[in-house]
Amino acid sequence: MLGYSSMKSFSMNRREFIIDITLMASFGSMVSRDGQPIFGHGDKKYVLDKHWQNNLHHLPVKDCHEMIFDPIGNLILLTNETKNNFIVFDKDGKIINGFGSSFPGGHGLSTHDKVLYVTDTDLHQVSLTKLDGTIIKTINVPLETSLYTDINQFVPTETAITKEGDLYIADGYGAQFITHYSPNGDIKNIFGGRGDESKHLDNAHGICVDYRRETPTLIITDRNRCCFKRFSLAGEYLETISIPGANVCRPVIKGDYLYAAVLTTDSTSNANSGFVIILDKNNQLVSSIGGVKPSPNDRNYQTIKVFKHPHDVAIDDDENLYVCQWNSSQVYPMRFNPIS
Amino acid sequence: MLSTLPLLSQDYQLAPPITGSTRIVYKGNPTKIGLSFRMDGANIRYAIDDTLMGKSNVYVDSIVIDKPCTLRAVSIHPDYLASDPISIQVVELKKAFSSIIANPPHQKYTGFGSKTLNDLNLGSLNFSKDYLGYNGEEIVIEAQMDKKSKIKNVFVSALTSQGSWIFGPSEITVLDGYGKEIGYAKFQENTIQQTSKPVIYTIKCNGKKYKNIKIIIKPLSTIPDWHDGKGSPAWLFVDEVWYE
Repeated sequence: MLGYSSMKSFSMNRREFIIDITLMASFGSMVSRDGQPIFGHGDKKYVLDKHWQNNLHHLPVKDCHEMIFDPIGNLILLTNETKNNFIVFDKDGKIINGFGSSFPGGHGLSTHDKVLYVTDTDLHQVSLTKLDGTIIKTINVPLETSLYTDINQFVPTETAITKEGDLYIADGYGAQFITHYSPNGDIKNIFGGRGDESKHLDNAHGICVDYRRETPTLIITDRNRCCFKRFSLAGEYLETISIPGANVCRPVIKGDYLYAAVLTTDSTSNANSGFVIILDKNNQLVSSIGGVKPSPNDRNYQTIKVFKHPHDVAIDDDENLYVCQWNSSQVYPMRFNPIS
Repeated sequence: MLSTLPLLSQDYQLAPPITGSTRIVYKGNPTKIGLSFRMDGANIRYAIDDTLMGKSNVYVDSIVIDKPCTLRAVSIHPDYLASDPISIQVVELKKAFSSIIANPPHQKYTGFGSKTLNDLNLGSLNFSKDYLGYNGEEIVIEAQMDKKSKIKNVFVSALTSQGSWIFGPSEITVLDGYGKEIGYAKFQENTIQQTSKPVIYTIKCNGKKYKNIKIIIKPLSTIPDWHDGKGSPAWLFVDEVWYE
């Protein structure tokens, strides 16, 4: 039996610990020998890392909206707390920096070429910043498309940037359009929008570029319809990836897998019912952290109250899974370590 | 701030079982209630009305219900804390109106039009669907029966969700086809603080035969002083109307 009295004892016995819980998982148990719950399914099972960020902190958070990694592997969290919009955690979960006060509605966080892309739902803007939070450029409502007449119609929730530097802005709390900019800032296209056709979106909360196939595509959240939608980079609708019952946030791709926080089960008014899903390269649901065992076409829902309202996920190079939450008693991100 | 991460599986609570609706109507024939909780090693236990959970049954297959009741169900697993109970209200819908026409609701909360009110589908706390929503307006419903029928009671199902500025009605009047009052009820309790839930209001009528009736549902005149929205129009959300 392993003890957890100190980080030292944990790290000394880490290998033994992993073997222990891996054995239990292989026998189908939901709990390790020392009573720690095993979350997830199939080849994507995890245990909560009780030591990561489990120390004294003085930096406040409100909603913990999104996370990315900086070039040296530190985790950057974006919160709408303007005392410190950004909080940086090192690999051990120690807070090493907190900065930024410009984003009262800080919501979406992406990165490309050492630049942070921040969407602000209160300011109705997208800002590009240096890694220290210094604002380089601001993008406002795209009035020139003639699809917007007022700044309040534009409530951007997410960005995605291609390897070449093309930028896509998802207006997930606004008019539901995806605006596509060239690397030099010209608008190349606008698509999506509200409506009942497949090409339309309803709460386009997240967007990412999927490089898992030969031809890169966009995966865009359609949260109120519990699905992701795949579009070409030119904005043509290609397919719907349905996750019944799951109000999915942004898609995050790492390796062959797509990870996403599910804010709530069934409807956004269903409080404290979130979980995290993992899809394989064929968009089949393979695991659910705090959620129901995957079953094709069946409704998905929360089973274990691990989370209240998970809002984003991040995955590091060791396959550790980080989850941050909206409206969840101001908790910091949690880290889960893979056991298989 | 010191994180207090749960340590053991027993520190984690299960979520409640899932069901299609937490409010179910049946009309004539018994109804079946299905529950789901797909987790290895977990079970669902259920009890009806005042039966204690300690004397509950293990859920195996759909539960057949043939009388109005409240069914409670929990998820259990030997390694985890049992869930909070889910509560399912089963309502007997005596007679449905053959047609119903209501004045237009607020453009944001149009449900499925007037038929929302006699589709045998009760709403839940999620007011974005299954309800017609009105902001400060009274609801006027023209209801028709296939043939002249005795009206003993009229039932109106409406939501209370005061945090969302949704209040139950202040009063409901039932009129015959000539505008003569055949039933009336006042609901003073909706001016005080209430927990969020859908409520079925009963309006006792004179028991005479009618082919057409009119139902007028009045909201509170304004939101009461104790509420953050004091003085503003109260929202009124109605999901089903029927009679006995």
